[in-house]
Amino acid sequence: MNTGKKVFAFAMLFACGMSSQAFAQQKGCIELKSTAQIEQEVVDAKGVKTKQLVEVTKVVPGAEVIWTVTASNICKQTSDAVTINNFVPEHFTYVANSATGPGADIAYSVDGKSFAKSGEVTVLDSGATRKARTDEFKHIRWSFKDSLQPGASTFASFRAVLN
Amino acid sequence: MQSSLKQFKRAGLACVAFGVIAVSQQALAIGTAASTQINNRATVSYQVSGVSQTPIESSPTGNSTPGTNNGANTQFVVDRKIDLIVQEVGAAVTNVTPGANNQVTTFFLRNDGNDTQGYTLAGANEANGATVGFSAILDAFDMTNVRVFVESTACTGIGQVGLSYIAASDTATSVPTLAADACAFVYVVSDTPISATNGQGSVVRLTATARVPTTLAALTQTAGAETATVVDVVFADTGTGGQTARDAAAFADDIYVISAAALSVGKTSTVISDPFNLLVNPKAIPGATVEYAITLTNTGAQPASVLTITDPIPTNTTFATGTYNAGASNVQISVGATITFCLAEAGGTDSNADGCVRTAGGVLTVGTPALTTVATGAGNAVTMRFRVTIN
Repeated sequence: MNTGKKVFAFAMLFACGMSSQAFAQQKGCIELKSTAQIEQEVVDAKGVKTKQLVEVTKVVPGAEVIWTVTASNICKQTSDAVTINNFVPEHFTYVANSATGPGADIAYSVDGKSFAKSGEVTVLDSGATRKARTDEFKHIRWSFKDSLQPGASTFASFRAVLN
Repeated sequence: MQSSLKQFKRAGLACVAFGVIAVSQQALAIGTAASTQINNRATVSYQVSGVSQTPIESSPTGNSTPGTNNGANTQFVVDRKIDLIVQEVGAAVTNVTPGANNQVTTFFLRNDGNDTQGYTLAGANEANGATVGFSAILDAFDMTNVRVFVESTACTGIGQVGLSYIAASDTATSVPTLAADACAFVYVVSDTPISATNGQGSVVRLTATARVPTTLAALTQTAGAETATVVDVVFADTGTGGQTARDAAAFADDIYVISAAALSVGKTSTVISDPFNLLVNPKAIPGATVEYAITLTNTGAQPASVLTITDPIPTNTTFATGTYNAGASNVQISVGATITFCLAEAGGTDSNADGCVRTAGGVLTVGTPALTTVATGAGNAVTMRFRVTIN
């Protein structure tokens, strides 16, 4: 039993810290990348203002961050039923109608368990069920209708404001 | 293998549990605290040839190793937002009298940033012609000896009552540390020059500047690109109401207004009787009785107190005695419809201590308690009467 506990502690150490080395496994078919960016206004030589996405710069309360998850098929087979789940990071508030993904059905959840379309998400409030506000959305799920072909990429993004 | 897989799952659960503990930090009302680490990790599930595959977690650079905790968080830290508000308390003028020292105006300072900051404070006179939002009075003079002190009682909010400047305990001249969302009351204390006149205003400004906590060293905004792992400094104060945006400083103005007594003195004489015409159309001939009336009117904003009226009895006249109050008094004092009397003794000694006396040189003096204050307004004008006989 004692040995078992030690093994568990050992496993946990690596699982929490150096996971990829400790549990080197065969690669899956999708490479998933998550980036955080902000929108920055740039003025070109002609004085025209445009907005560009740049890596997160100074992020203080009130700042809007664009989170983008990119999924690339790195296999020779087609991936189907691609579904990306992402949570709204702690201390952030989801910006209404900001979740996008090409050809994806987007569903939201307040608890990470039951998902529904925007406007149909409910929340239990003081014993009564009511419609959830968009700022209560804590989890977002993108269900891509199209298959992801070998070598192809798709993305899921949303915006959130730092509280 | 079986048991090791179970342990792996347990380890994963333990990590999730730790994660919950790590992110349960409460956000402040004013905003997420500086240095808070922001983590994000997405998960993708998919099928290949109709078979569900092990979900894959995201990483900042891209991860394709399936399974829990094989991804990595996309993370950065919340930067330090420097923001503050300074406002005048009460939105009312501070009335002062010329020469009055240690006159107090009160201000409110709040840390609207997301981290503890220190603050330096400065009080200063504004230029002539300056105004404040709650008064039409223009700045016309400068207060002197302008100082700034911090209220020692902990601040609970702008509506806090029962505070006042206490010289013995409110001695701090800066705010070494002020937590995010916390506040402090600040007093500007100054002296009123004696030369200032009734109705004049003096606008004073309190400026608070955010500084490094405790050391009060100057803050510098972080230039250049974001470093995800470093807490950068961002000045976020607004430029409303003439303030300079993003300078880590804020100010508010208050106005001192001189509220003083302003006395005007009038003197009239009336012939009461002469030895020949008696009371009917008397003429100012030797032996005639003449009544002098000295009227004090206060057109200022404050009652005038501790007054003394002195009036030399005119040459070639003799002060008449037994003239009022059925012969018991020789000076009449009326305030509106209220009439009082006193007895001005000859010889310079006010033996009945009623405030009226005549000195040897022939000067009539009327003071307290016969005459103590002159309240403001024409209805409160004080008239003192005495009579003389022409020699």
